[in-house]
Order: sequence, then structure tokens, then C-alpha cells
Amino acid sequence: MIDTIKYSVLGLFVLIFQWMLGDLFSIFGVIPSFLVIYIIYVGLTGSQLSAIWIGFVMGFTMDSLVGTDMIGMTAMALALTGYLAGLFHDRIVRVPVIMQYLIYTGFLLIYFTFTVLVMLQDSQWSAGNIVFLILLPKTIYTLGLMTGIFILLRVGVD
Amino acid sequence: MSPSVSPLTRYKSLLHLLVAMVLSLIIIGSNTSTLVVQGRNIVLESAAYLYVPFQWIETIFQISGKYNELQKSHIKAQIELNKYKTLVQENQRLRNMLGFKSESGFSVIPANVLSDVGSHTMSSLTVDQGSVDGVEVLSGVVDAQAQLVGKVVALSPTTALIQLINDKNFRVSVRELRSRDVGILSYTLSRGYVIQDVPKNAEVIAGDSVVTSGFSDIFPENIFVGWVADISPVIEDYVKSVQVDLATDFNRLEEVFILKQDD
Repeated sequence: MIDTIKYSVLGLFVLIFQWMLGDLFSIFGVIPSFLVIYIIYVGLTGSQLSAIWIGFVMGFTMDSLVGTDMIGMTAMALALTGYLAGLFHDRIVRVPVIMQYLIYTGFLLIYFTFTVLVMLQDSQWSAGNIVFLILLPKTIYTLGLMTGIFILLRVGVD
Repeated sequence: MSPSVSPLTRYKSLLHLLVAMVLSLIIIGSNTSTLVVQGRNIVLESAAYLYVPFQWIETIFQISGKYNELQKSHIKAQIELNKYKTLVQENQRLRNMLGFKSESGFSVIPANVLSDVGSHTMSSLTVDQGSVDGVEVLSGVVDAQAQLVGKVVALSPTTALIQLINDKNFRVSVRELRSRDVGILSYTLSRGYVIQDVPKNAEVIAGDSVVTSGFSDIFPENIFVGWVADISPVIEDYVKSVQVDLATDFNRLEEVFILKQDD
């Protein structure tokens, strides 16, 4: 219970950070998602249920703040990512480092595939453009930041 | 021998995920329902409070410098205004002579920017004026130089969410000021902000000003949008597309003005 409260409070700070300062990390218009990094962190180090529900609430809040036409999409994507990350809870340390980062890349691809789909409502954007100009750059950038953060926090290390 | 575990316990996480997913789908499917709109309003209202201390600090440090700037620009504007008043009177007289209908008027509601968000889903900003201040959904928004900023897409009693013109899904009817050609300005991944399907014989040149056409109820005509950057013929050469550089500096927006149509 205390862990859940701790992760929720920390999640609130991450949400505020993403909302207020996320733009500062923009490179050529590509903004990383600290929310998904946090939810993966919660899934790997906390409980799977916390990851699902904190992800859901953070996603709904973020959708409301940015004013997307599809409120609930980020909530669904973060809840799913939290569930998937939770599957590796306590097991990730036994996975070779290369495999760990492949798994993280998978999480990010799943998350961004869901959230970037919102943009498909604009018919001018071809699927190729979405994948190569938005989805992959976002995934790579977020993975780079996540690597730094996880090394600092010693996530995935026995 | 392992102790027997009920399926509910074994698949507890999966069940929670399913509930979260179903809730998400319900929310996605009912984005305009009262409950979801109220939820969004609560989030926006709460978020607005977070910005209050930041605004106090900013106000304290900037108010003196801003006052001096405002005084200077006020004097300049007053001189310009006097000049334009004469022109408006002359224009009105000529329009009356030609039998034009009078244009619909707009008043403005000044608003402070609380936050700006650039995400993969939408470029937007939140301002500190809401429905109780007379703001309405789909009101146009301009900056201090009367350049187009965006439109209001969501409202709470004390805040409004503005979709910016640099958002990928934003569309606005614009007019090229010199040639008077009209088109729809939108964002494309490959070429940025583009007016599509401009007639091939339109005499548009780089550097021309682009303003709103006034063909919608959201924006009055002649709000400055930007400049023509480049012109290129499109496939089959029947029409050309005009690339536009936006005038508004979205990184420096601190105050905006919400346009309110006069009754």
C-alpha cells in the first residue's frame, strides 16, 4: 500500500514534469515520453497492478491536458505497457542486458504505436511517414533517455 | 505439490488490465459525453492551480519591464490607431456607397498562457480564461500582434484549451493578400504548412502575406497568418501548392486574445 502511494506521488511529479517541461527535451519536434519510462520502471520494480492503474490515471490526465480528440488512448497504452512491464517484475535481472533493452524497445514500440495512431485521423499522413518520422524517432529518443535513467537507478541490475 | 490457486487470483493482473482497457475504450467512445468532459475540466482546473505560483514569480520579475514596453507600444499604437480610424471611416463611406453589408464585429478577451504542450497527439496551450469569462468553444485566438494563434477546443469554467495553428490537424481558410486567392492552410509532413490546390494561374510570389479569409465563423478576415515561403506545382500541374512560414512565435507566447463574436 505504501509502495503504491509512493509510486502514485512520484507519478504525479513525472506527469507535471512531462506536461510543463517536456517541450524542453524536444529535438526536431520529437518529444520523449517520460510517462512511459516511469510506467515501465513501476512495472519492473513495483507491482504490476500499480503499473496498470497508475498508467491508466496518468494517461487519462495527460490526454485531458493536451486536449487530444481521443481521450483514453494514452490511458489504454500506458495501462497495457504497465501490464507488460509487470510481467518481467523481479525477472528482468535474470535477462541478459541486450535482451533487456530489446524488451524495453518492444514496450516503447507498443506504447507509441497506440498513441501515435491518434494522428492517423489526418488522412494526409501515410503509414510510412508515421512510422519513420514519428514512431521510430520517438522510440529511439525515449529509449536513449530510458537507458540513462535505468543505468542511474540500477534497474535490471542484480 | 503446489497449493491450488483460484483462477481469479492467478489472472488477477490480466483482469485488472482488461478492466482498464474496457474503461479506456468506453472513454474513447464517449469523448463528448458529460462525464468525460467533466473529468477533463477537473484535470484542467487542477492543472491551472499548479501554474499560479509560477505566474506570481514571473509577474513580480517582469511587471516593471513590461509596463515600460507597454507604454511605448501604447503610444505607437495610438498614433497608428488615429491613422486607421480615418481610413476605416473612409472605407466605411466607400463601402456604403457600393452597398456592402456591414462586417460582423469581434471583441477580444485577454488571457494569460498557463502552459503549452507539444505532444505526439496535439499542439495546444491552456489559458486562464474560461466559460465564466465569456469564452466559447471554437472561438478564434490571436497574439498581441493580432497574428493567428489557434482556436478554443475545450473549456472549463476558468480555463480554456487552445489548439494551436501549428498542430498537425489544424485547418484554416486563408487568403493570399496580394493576389486575393483563397485556399485551406494545413500541415503536411513533407513540406510543412501548405495552402493546397491554389489555381495554377494564381499570381502568388514568395514573400506575399497570408491572412485569414473570413469564410468561417471562427476567424474574422484579415488576421495575419504568415508569409509565402515557396510555390511549387503539384502533380498534373493543374494546381500548385503554396508553402507558408507562420508568423506567430509559439515559444514566446505569454498572453493571447480570444475573439468573441459580438451579438
